[in-house]
Amino acid sequence: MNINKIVQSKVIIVIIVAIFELAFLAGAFNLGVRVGYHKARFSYAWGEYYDRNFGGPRRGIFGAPEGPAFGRSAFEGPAFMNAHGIFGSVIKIDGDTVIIKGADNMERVILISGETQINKFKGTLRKEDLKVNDKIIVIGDPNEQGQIIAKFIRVMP
Amino acid sequence: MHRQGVLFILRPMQEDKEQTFGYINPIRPKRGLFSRIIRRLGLEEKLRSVKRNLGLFIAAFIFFAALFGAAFVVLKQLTAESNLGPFLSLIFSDPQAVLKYWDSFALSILESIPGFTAFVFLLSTAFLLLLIRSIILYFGKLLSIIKSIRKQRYEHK
Repeated sequence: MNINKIVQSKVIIVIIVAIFELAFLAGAFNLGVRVGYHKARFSYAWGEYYDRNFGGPRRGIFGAPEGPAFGRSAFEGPAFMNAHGIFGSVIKIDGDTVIIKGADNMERVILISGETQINKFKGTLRKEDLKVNDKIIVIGDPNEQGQIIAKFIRVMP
Repeated sequence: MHRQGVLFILRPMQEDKEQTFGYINPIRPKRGLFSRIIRRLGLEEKLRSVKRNLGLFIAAFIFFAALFGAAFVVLKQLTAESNLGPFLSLIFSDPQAVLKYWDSFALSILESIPGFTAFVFLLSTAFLLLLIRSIILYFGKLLSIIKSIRKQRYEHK
């Protein structure tokens, strides 16, 4: 059998495309698992350390209903929180700790270190320049206490 | 012999055939009538099949259009609630920070994507495009068959 004919046949092309699609699917699945793992782990730590981070029970003193962090959306399934970034308003500043209220009305604790880069317009700011009600975008990594260690903060105008 | 008692007389038909059916003018079918009938039957069969498929495609189109609309509304709402917009804006405002903290930035973007809704939206979009293509193709086929039938109807006159 002519090897050129085999190589140029449609069956070979279909097999190659199918393998590419399978690889893409496997990659997407793996990425989804990784992202889900981070979100679930962060949401779990956030719930576990809520008392210590925010000074009160997550359900409130009178047992308020659960927030969206552990609720269930009809389209998205269990709603876990983003672990590597947040956009929201600063509601409290306490030393190196900044508490932000996100678009989902949930508070997150942001830890600012000496390496955190804070930008506003074209310049950089110090952590002392942050004010309550500032709208900020935070990029960072989660820790085991359900907090985000900020690497970069952009203060929105 | 007593002929009065005979009610009818059986005579072989062959004998006076010309006398019996002589008033009927023999019909001679036109040349190609049989092939025309067969062709017409084929066209009618095709027409029925195309109409049935077109109906199915239109029903599926209505279903996927409704799904597309619902997914679009939910996706718009979830995207507005998520931090996707602010995170993406960092690409333009702080490209250097995005490159420096690319891993946390990539994860924060991935965590913000409303995955399932985006999947439903993309799937319904793909099906809609496929169905629009099929409806246009089958509508063309339908017109072509109707034209062939009309042509055949009037071509012998």
